[in-house]
Amino acid sequence: MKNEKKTKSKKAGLMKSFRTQKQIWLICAIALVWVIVFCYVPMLGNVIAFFDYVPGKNILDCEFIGLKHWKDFFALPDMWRVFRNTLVISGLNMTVGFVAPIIFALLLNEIHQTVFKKVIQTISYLPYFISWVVVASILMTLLGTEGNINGILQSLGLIDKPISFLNEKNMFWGILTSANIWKDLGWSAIIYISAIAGVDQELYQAGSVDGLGRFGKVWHITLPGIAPTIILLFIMNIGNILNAGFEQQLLIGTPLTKEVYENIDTYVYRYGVQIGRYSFATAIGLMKSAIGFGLVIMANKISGKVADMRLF
Amino acid sequence: MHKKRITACLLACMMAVTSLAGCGGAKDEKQPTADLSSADLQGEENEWGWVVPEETLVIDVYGGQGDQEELEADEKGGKAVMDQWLLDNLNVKINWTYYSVDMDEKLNLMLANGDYPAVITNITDEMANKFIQQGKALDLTEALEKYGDNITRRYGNYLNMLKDEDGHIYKLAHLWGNNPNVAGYDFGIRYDYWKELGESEIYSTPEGYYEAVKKVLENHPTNANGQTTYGFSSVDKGQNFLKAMLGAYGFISDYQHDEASGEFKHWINTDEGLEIAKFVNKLWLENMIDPDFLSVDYETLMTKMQNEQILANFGTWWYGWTGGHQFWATQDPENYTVEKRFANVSVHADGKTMDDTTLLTNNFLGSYRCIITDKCTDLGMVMRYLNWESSELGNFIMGWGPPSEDNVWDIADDGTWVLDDEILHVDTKETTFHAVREEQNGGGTYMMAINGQWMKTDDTQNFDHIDPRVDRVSVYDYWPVNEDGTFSDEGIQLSWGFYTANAKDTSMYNVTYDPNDDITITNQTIKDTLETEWARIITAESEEECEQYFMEAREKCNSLGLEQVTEYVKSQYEANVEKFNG
Amino acid sequence: MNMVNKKSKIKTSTGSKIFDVFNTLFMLAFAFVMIYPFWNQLVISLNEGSDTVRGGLSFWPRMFTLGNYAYIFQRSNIVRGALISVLRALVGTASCILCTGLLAYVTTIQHFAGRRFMRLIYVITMYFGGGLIPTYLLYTQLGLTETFTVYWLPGLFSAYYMILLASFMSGIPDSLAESARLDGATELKIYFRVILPLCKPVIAAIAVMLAVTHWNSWFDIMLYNSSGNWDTLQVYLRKILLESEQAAKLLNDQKQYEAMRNLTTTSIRAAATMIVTIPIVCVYPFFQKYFVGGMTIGAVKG
Repeated sequence: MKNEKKTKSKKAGLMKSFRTQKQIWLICAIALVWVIVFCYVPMLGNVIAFFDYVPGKNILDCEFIGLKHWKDFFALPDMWRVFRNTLVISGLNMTVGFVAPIIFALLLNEIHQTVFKKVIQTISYLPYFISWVVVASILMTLLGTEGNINGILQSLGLIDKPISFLNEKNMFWGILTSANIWKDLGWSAIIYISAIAGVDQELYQAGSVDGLGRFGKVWHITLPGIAPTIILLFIMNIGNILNAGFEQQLLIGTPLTKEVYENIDTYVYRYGVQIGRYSFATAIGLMKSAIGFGLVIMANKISGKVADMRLF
Repeated sequence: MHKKRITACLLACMMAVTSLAGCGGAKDEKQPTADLSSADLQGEENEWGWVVPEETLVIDVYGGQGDQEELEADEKGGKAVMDQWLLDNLNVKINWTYYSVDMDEKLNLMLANGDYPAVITNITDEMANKFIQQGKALDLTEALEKYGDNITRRYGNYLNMLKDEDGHIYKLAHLWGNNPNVAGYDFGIRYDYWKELGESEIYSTPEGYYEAVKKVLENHPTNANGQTTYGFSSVDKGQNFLKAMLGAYGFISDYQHDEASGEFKHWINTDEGLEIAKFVNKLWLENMIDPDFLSVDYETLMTKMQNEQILANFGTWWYGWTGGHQFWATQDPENYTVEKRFANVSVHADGKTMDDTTLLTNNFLGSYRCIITDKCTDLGMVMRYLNWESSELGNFIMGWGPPSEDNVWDIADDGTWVLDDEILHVDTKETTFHAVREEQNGGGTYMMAINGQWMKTDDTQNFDHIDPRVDRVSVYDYWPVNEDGTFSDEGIQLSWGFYTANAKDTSMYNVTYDPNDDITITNQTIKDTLETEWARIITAESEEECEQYFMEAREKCNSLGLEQVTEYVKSQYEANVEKFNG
Repeated sequence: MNMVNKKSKIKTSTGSKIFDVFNTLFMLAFAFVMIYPFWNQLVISLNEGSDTVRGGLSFWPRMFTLGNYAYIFQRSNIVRGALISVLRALVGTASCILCTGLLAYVTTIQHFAGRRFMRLIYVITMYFGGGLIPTYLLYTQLGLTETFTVYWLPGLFSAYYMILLASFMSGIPDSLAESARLDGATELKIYFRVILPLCKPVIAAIAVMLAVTHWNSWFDIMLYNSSGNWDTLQVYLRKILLESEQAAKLLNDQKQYEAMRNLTTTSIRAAATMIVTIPIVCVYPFFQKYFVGGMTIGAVKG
């Protein structure tokens, strides 16, 4: 509401604000200079998306090819599948992978044994430090035909021939999502744990007085308390809808699962980065950014209307 | 006021971007010839075949991806020995730089900001071309004529292949020469287990190989840990099976070349290709291939071979060494006998002879290049140095370190390059040869444009000075031999005794792809598609299914533009031949 | 929701106890899943390298040795790398929190007209990046390459953390800053004296994340400080880890054979991972005290 009033008298308000809020504008000026130099200037380098850029050549000497890279990209025969995989993989990360750390943070908060809680909390972020190469080899020992899982299933008599899990198309998304969650859960939970700590303690006391039970407090106090953090993170994540990642896919994937793991990132990695096609990689990156940012703007609007919470 | 601010910002941005864009030279022409006068030295060649310049010649080199810290730390002092030797005997100082980032990445950044040293080596042909096209690599033609007699002599006709359309040379090859490896792709088997079969002669066809491995697996269904044994595994998703088989059928880098008609055919478009697919599929169906072969990496494969879970290996020859006797002999000496090893065996397809195979190939120019950039102020002298490096003696010194009592070799009074007796024992090569030559004497520290392959006497080069007790000498390795040419080490003779294929020269089949060219993408797409399809084909659940998948893959590749790629490969081959013949 | 209320009211004690038991059990299982791979790497790092390749190591080293660690300490100047790592993590984290925090504070001042504009400008940078080459050129032109500055200056402001901080700050009642302002305090003073102290939990969280990110980063170092004068601990680790990748890329068969024979063992790589990881893992518990207990804004308000 306040904002709307201000937009009406925008010009006058701005002029006045320069005068009366000198200090604030000074801080902003520093932040603006920084962001222009370190973010917006290099961002202009994205113009190479429209050229056949070769490093070392002046951009003006490079051939202007307009939208060719996008045309090439969309002309790919497997395009719909690449898009589908991208959306599925990042969709799973944005839903299941998003909710898991919240649940973990809430469960952790219910533990009252301080030492135990701290230990679990620290342990939970250990996997974040394990590189994907190691994760891939762990998956191999777990899920290979001689792996532990097959061993267990066989000794239980559930299967008679070992299953090659990593070569199964219909299991790949599950395996990948689990691995992603396993690796990032504790890390992502840090911010929620701190947000929970930020919830006003008086509210809990008031809750007790009102007769709220344990679960009631979680539902009526803790969750609403961290809701702003959740919503903001979710909006920010939406912008990553087309970033499904490539490292883990290339390490865990096999030719037999390529049909379900090939996504925009793996494609750009192999056809842009690895063979030195900077323009192509930039073009696709730009497209992903534009779509992602468009979605963020939308989500931001919706959340502004529904929950009165905005990124900007 | 606000608007002004925005306009100002925009202006600032525009200025910044133009300055960025302007970075790096704007020329798009090849470099004119440099001044060579400074290299017209008067004076006698010294014992190393080098005219010592009055002023120390300093050469700055970027040598690719590597650990600069380790180089500079120079723990065992080898680099210092080499540095001192170069300074004392040649009055040359080399400033060598490695960067830990990927070389292509670093080169692109160097191109972008124009900051690169005088010499770049270990560079790929594609990246070298980028420098050349932008006029950042010097024209070496004249310098080669004047000071490059060793290079011109030892390259022979292959020098022509480095020329551009106008006959100018802008790049040299690095690690060029003929392959000294006895084995290339091979159809290896555990020798001790094969011997148990009591067969008088070793197999010579894929079919015979299949029979032998099958019997071995029947005799040894599990290893000591009780794990099921398999014949084969892979580190490249089954590509090794394909490559070895294509070699046995005489394909050259994926293509069948009919020399009579001049036609090229990609394996997916041939009947032999289907035969190969069915053969590998048969191995799969009979559980001879490790079911996890699509997810195995190099180290896992080594573990499996060392644990005697994988009893044969077809593909890269030395996997059977690092994963076999080289491990057992050092880690488990009590149970090790000389026969416990993988034998490298060459086979040929039915209807072909061993001479038709392309299991072992020679690619004379190799995959690496060396360029001299426009940052070099003294092209003549640098060329003189590269030429010295390419003399037989220079070649040997740069690879094996300076001759001395402390090194593995020395020059006798009669001029023979005598080797230390100790290095004739292959078992201890790691400590008596590699460590002494590299770490203590700086062998291999500074190799820029050198013969990295077989140093042997032929029409173009003379290595008669090398101690006759060894053969197949390269800057990396050597093998002790008896007078009759057999390997004097019993184990090596066992490993290589069955390898009878001869090296095939495939230098004319080199194809260069420009990253911004559409054909490059088409080629890459087909390659990737085939990697997937190959895995699908060989893991098919029946022969019919295998054939069906094969046909589907064929159709897919052709619709992706395999024909254009084949044409391109053909045209490149023809161009190579034409160039080679001058 | 009423259901939940009723339930919890009725079986507060028993339900709650059952939940506690299950929660604890779950956490224990969870802890095992999370810690095991790490433990396994530790075991591998303490095992004789030549024995490790035989596979099958799980809970305990088969041939115990500290040799892998000794090897790494001999091989590189780790102490210097560690110092630079610590310095980078400290400077990078502190500078980013102070500056980004200030920016976040400014964007939460209700009566400030430019707040949405500032946020938008920054949020855009989260989605549109500059790409490798333009960034590299910029840094060389600004003279940032081969300096320590490149470790913190380009990360001085962060849109992501700005949003997180701002969301936390917006929960702080306006009246606090306003009354300070009426007392004539400068904005900087309000930020340091009033706002920052109230943001401890979120700052602790962000500090952990920033410190870890700085500690773990290596690619920017290899690119911008490629001479090796400012190598951090992580770079030493990367060099060891990249060896096999590098060897696999070699186009010359003989060269590759040689490189593969000389690969560092899995055990040494695991030891390197441990040396680099353990110090930074220990940072978290140190910050955890700011998470528990929480804060009572109401009390401050009063």
